[in-house]
Amino acid sequence: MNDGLSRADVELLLAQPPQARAVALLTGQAGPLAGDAALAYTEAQAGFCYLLHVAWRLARPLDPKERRRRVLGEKPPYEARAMFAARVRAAVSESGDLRDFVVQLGRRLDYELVEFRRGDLAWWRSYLAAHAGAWFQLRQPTGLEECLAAAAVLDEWMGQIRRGMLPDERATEDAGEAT
Amino acid sequence: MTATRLLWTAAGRPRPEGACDYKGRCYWCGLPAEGLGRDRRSLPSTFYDAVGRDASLPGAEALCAACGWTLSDGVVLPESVGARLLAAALAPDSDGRVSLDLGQGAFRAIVGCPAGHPTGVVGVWERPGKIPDEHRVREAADPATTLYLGPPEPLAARVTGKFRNFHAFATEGGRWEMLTGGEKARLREILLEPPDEPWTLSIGDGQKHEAIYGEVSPPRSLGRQTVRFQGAVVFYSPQELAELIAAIEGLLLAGAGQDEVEGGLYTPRAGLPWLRALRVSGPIVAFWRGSPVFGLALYLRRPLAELKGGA
Repeated sequence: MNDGLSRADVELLLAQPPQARAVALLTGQAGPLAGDAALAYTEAQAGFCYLLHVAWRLARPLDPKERRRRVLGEKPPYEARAMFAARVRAAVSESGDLRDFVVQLGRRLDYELVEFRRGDLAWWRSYLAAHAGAWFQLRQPTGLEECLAAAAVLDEWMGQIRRGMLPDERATEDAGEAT
Repeated sequence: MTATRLLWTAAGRPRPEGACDYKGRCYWCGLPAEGLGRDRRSLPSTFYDAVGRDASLPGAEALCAACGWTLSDGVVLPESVGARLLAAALAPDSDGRVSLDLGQGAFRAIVGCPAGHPTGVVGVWERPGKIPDEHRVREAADPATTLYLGPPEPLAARVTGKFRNFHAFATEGGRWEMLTGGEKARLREILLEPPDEPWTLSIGDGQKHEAIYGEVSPPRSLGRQTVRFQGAVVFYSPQELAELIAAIEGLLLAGAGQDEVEGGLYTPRAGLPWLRALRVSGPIVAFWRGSPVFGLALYLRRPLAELKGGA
């Protein structure tokens, strides 16, 4: 098993929207987790990890100018990760369901749901409809830690795929999906 | 058989500190004292205050020799341990301090091998605070202030120590070991492959008495084992303990800190090795977290430098 994505993985995943990429990577349909059932996540967990990835990117955007205005933007990477994890845990402990969790996390990371990219917002609604019942499994401490770890790895993989895009493909994805 | 009797018998039934003739039952374990005991008034008041309520026979006059011996501060140690302590005391950069028992009870001495006695050890009684540095044995050429103690080999069998400073291990078959905190590899070996005969091991913090609370563990073939570990009796299965130690070491090797493993709140890290370690080892560690077995496994895990060296 490789640490990162192979060229073939990147080419395969480039054709998919980011939400589907994340789910494919974490459920082991593609990428380094493929073929290792013990490491693969369920669809509900994979979606939750993508949600954490989206929240992370809102709290710590890639654009340096934008980053300065955000909660975790000025922190060193390790500290930012630790703070993000602490806020996710706090939001989980205060939330009664998935919908509530997104709001609670937004309060702690200073974002609102309308800041989600259009594609992410649509995906979030469909995810909520399909997996609202998974909340009690997702909020278990061991599972939550695994999702936080997966979100960090997912961020790395998504960055690798993004670097594999041609500049105009990247711009199209950003422009096409931003609100 | 109690743990103290097992230890005492394996050590060759030594005479305890403050020994007296006693034919009654033991204050601590309640078993007959077989003619030899230790007057309970010779124990420090701190012992009474802390554990007096746990005594089996609070009205008894004395402890049996076995229980009294495990509370001693001047226990003659196994020769291998004595040789190691003596060699450490004789090392050039050591202060030379060691405890000895030459037949009239334990005393503290400063030992050395000065030029006048190239093959032997000379010593001087230690009176804390009263022997200035310049009188230490290496510098002292005046035979009036020093005593020739003899060659080091026989002396190794006379080195003493405080019982509570060691992790005491004994088996019914007569094996007796006094292990230090630095010998975790040996502790791990004993606990993961316990003897197939009744045995006892008490792991303390070096300050509190643990052996007197020890339990006798059944032979390995009879299933779950028992060990006294820092204030608690831990029931464990060697297989499960090995699995838990491996899981903890796996997390540490992947980058987790000891506080993260203890608390279960991990800082997310990028990289597949961390994800793999967390997915494989995390649930095992989470299952045992908070139990006495978890504390024991954390104590027994290898240091990170050793893990990285072996990885």
